[in-house]
Amino acid sequence: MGNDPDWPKQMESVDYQSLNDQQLMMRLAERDADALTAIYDRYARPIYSLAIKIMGKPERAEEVVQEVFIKLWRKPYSYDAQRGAFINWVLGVTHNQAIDELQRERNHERTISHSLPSDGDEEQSIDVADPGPDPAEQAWYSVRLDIMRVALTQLPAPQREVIELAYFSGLTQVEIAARLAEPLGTIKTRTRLGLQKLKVILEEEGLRSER
Amino acid sequence: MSNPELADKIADYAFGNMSEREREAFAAALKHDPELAAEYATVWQPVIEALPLAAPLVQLPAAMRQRVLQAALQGEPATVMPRAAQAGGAIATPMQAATLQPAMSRPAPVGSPQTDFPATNPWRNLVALFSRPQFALGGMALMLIISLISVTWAVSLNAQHESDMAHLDQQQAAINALIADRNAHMVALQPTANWKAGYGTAFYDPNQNVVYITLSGPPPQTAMDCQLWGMKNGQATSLAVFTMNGWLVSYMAHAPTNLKSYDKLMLTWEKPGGAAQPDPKWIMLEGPMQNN
Repeated sequence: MGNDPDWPKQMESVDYQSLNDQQLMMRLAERDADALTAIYDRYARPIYSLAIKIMGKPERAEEVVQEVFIKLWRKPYSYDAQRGAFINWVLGVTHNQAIDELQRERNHERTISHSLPSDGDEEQSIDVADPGPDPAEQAWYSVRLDIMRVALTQLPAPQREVIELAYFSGLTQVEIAARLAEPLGTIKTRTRLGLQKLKVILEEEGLRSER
Repeated sequence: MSNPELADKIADYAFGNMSEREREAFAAALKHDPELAAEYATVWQPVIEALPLAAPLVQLPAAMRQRVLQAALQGEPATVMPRAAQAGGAIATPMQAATLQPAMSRPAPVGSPQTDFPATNPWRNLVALFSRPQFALGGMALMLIISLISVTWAVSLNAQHESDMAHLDQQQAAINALIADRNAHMVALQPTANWKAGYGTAFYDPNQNVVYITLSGPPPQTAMDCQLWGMKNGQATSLAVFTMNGWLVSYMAHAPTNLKSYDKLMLTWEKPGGAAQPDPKWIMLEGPMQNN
């Protein structure tokens, strides 16, 4: 063993690409750096995409991604597979991190200059994620991406606007009302209607793809 | 009828735009409002969980991979710990599931059986498939087969467990006999910085032949053998190689070796068969020989 610094990884000949998310997280808990690399290769793109959608600038998005992976490495046991898919969880963590950054900045500067995502953002969409080691999982994820993007564009603009401001800009309902100069009740109604409509669209899209 | 005050705040809660204190108060109150809780679980949560997917995919900067991984790995290393206690209650808030640090203060979308896309998630598809009447019978048959396999597996596992226990009892009896012998001795092995999780003991008989080691817990899954080394004037000599066996924590030396000439013992994790020389990074336990 003295001549084999990479043991036990080489000894086991682990194919990280074939491991599922939960197995990778278990290896992460054993301080397996290759597992972290595998998770990065699998999910960095959606994580970075969400971060840049919220933060706006690539360098700030990268800071968010970096924080997410630092936390993954430090506290891999925070993920509980029983609570849902890893991708949902890690994107939730990314959202938390990005919104926290935004709010810190707002508290510091007391100015809100974050621009609303426009319809043009969809044109920025390039293609589906790189083919991953788990084709079924990747395909499933790609389908979900497409469905969600389409669903959001089907919403009436005012409803989509409040949902995007709430989720991607981290604004409270009161803050959204102030920004749009609309009554608070209107904002709440738009949000609720938008969510309900999105749910219907998503369910319909889901059923369609099932056939 | 839902509490209007709660209903007013549900959007901020669902989108994660609340302070930690507000979020906790809201989550506690939500447990007592079944109607609103149901609305949250069926309307708000599933959609908000899917919202991250609305972000258009962009290409990753080429050099980001190295920067991110390097920054992560330079941080505090992860340690194997029990899973963090989960908050109780019937309503799993996004915050509880997505938080990495207790101090993080906002809910975030997570998956749940009710909220993933039923049509596109393979597991949800399976559930939906067996929910249909025409497949119900097939589903039940499959479940029966799975149950039978599970029972067979459990019986086999239990038999293995009984066998291991008998093996362990046998080894423990031998160790007890050694300890009872007033001429038998032991060397306490303390953990090094490489393995903070346990400790061990090496037992040797009246002729100073090492016969057993015990560990306070099983070694990492990646270790297949462990090797005992005697140290004298900075030179390491292999004394015994012990074959790991699942969760068992005591091992008998295949070829007992005399310890008289050493002043320190060390234990390393090894490949099957052991190594010619110990690698410092795999030295997990060590302890001085005692003059008795």
